[in-house]
This record gives sequence, structure tokens and C-alpha cells, in this order.
Amino acid sequence: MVNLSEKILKQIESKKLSPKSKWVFILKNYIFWFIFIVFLFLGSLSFAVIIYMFKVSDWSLYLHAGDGVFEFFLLSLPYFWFLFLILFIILAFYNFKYTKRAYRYGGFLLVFVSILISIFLGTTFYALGMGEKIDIAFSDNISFYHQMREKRARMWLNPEKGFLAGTILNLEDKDNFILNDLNGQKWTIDYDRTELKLPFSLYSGEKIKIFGEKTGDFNFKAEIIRPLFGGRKRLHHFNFK
Amino acid sequence: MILENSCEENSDVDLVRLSLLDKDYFLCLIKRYEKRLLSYIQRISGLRVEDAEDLLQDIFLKTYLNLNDFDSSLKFSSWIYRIAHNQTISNFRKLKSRSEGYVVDLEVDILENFSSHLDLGKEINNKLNKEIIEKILEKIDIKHREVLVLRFLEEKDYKEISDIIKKPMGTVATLINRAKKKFLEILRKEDIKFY
Repeated sequence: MVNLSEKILKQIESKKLSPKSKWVFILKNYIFWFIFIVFLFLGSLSFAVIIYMFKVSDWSLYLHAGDGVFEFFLLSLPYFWFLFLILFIILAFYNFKYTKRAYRYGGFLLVFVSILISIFLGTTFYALGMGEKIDIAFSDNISFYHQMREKRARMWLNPEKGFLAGTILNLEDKDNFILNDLNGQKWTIDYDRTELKLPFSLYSGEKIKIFGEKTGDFNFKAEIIRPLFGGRKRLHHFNFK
Repeated sequence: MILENSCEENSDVDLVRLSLLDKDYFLCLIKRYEKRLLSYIQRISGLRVEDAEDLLQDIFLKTYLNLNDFDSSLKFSSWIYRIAHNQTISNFRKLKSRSEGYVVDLEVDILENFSSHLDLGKEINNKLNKEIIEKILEKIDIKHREVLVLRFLEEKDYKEISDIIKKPMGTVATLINRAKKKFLEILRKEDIKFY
């Protein structure tokens, strides 16, 4: 015990030990902060897609069907993005815990703040149109995501219940057009442009969903028409393809 | 060689700064903390003096290597206790069992402090009850034992304990309350009487 201090100094000398550079610690701390911000950013992007998907799922439209609303609700929830959001919040939280003073804050507070930041940034990203862009990019590049998207769209293929979805083949006149449904079946759609008060114009090649009434074997009277996946930019893209 | 006087004249923070310029100043920090840390290590781990001293050497070497990581928003004592805490817990987990039994060095004034905070009442008799407190501390899991040691034997406040074990102050308060309850439960369960 008496010689402990000398023993330590001797060890320092013999092993030629010296304090690690300040930059090592500063850099380490910055790396944890950087990774935390990256995960928070990714979580916020996930939240932007969630908002977008809620918006385009048109639940209000499906309420017209009366029954099956709950089933529709379950099928249309963006589970994939909820999982991403939770995953990124957990990763951000664990990463933040390694920053220098994080231990001073409780776990619940940190998770709560991470969620609040994700909501705030996610809403901003959604307003900037990033939710839609990510959804389209994933659908175009990841096959299983594309299949999920198609599966969700298929929920709108139920003519008996008054739902139809597909691509406009041609606009015959101002009261009719031909729709190629998601199964490749052709339908003649009757619609009254003034009655529908469409917030957009219809183009050949557009993917749309329709709420209305089946009036014949392959005839359908449209009461409400909406873009199948939301955004207008996408619709124009189809038109000029 | 550093004179004894220059050790006493300088604060911990100054000594850290000086140690970074001249390693001999680190000797002052070792001398200032070696006794306190040695008893702290023994109190939470129950290691024999020789083993505790070996561990203490590692702790001081680690402290020296990481001097540039010292956060001046903390007390230096909290920072070095944190290193000691981490090393001791990690060593404790490696060894798992303490074949030598639990040996702590409890002084009379510390015993008084401990018993008054745990509401052990007037019945406590410092001279005879050191062994009883040791026996009970040995039976408490390390997570709860370490906060009892820090609060009542090392006499650290909640902020310091929070900085040492890297947990929020609310969690520290909860841990201390639970540890006190555990201590009293064992006391009752074993029907231990203070003399």
C-alpha cells in the first residue's frame, strides 16, 4: 500500500504510457451523436411515409362500405413503416445512451423526446413530399414492397361492395371511360364530371380507385374517384409514359 | 519529484491539468485517493486487501490513460469513483464468487451514519454491530449494495452517486430506497438483533 503510487509511476514509465489524446474522446462522443441523429432522421422519414400512407388509404371513402371497415383498417396499416419507426427510435435511444451525459436523463424521457422529434421532423418531411417519394422509390426498387403495395391496392377491388380499382384505358367521352381493373378485366365506367366535382382531371394511364355501384356485368357507376396511390405527380407521370 | 506541498496546494482539477503536462503530478492524485478508493473497492466487492490493491493499480492506470476524458462538469472524485466502480463491478462479475468472504472496514462514525439513515434506532451498538452490517451487506445483491455503500459509507450525495453509477438521480433515489428495504428485510428475516 505504501508503495502503490510508486509502483504505478514505475508501470507508467516502463510501459511508456501516456494519456490518450483529447481528440479520441471528442471524436468518440461526436460519432455517437452523429449516429443518433442519423437514426432519428431515418425514424422521421419512416414517420413521413406513415402519414402519407394514412392519407392515401382513404378510410373515409371505405366507410361507405359499412361492413368490413375494421378488416380494411387492419390490412391498410403501414406495419412495415411502423416497424422501421420503432427500430430507429430504439437504435437512436441506445446510441444516445453512449453519449457523455445521457445517463442524467431517464429512459422514458429519452424515448418520449425521440418520438416527439420523429413526429415533428416526420410531419415536416411529409409536408415536403418525402413520404410519397420514399414509398414510390421503395415500390420501384424492392419487389416485396411492391407486392405489399399491390396487395393493399387490391383491397379496392370489390365491385359487389362498390369498390373498383385499376388503370384508365381511354376516356371515351365526358361521361364514360374504360377501366382495366387490377385483374385485367375491362369495365365501362359511367360518371358525371360535374356531380363528382373532381379535384383533378382524368388521364389515360392513370391508376385510380372508385367508389360507386355495379350497374351491370362490367358496368360501374362512379360516385367518388380518387388516385389509387395518392400524389398527382405520379398520375401525370403515368400519362406521359 | 513533486513536493508534498504542491500536492496539497492544488485542487483535483489543477492536478489533472498538471498531470497531463508532467506525470509526476499524478502521484498527488494517487496519494489523495488511494485510501478512499481501496476501502470503496472492498466495501462493494469484499475483495481481500492484496486483490483490492491489484485492482486499484489498474484503476489508477486507467485513470491516467483517460485523463483527457475527464469532464470538468463533474467532480473529479465522482469521475475517479466511476472508473473504480466500473472496474470493480466488471472484476466482480468475472470472479462471480467471493471465496474469501466479505470483509469491510467500517469505522465507528460511519457505522453511526449508516444506522441512523437506515432507522436502526438507538439499539445500535457500534462496537459489536460491524459484523452484523457486513453480514447483511454480503447478502444484498451488488446493484443495491453499491448504492448503500456510496450513500451511507462513502457519504456521497445523490448527484455524485448519479455521476458515479451513470444513472438518473430519480433512479438513484429508487435504488437507495429499495436497498434500504432489502437491508431491513434481511435484518428481520434473520432475526438479527443489534446489541
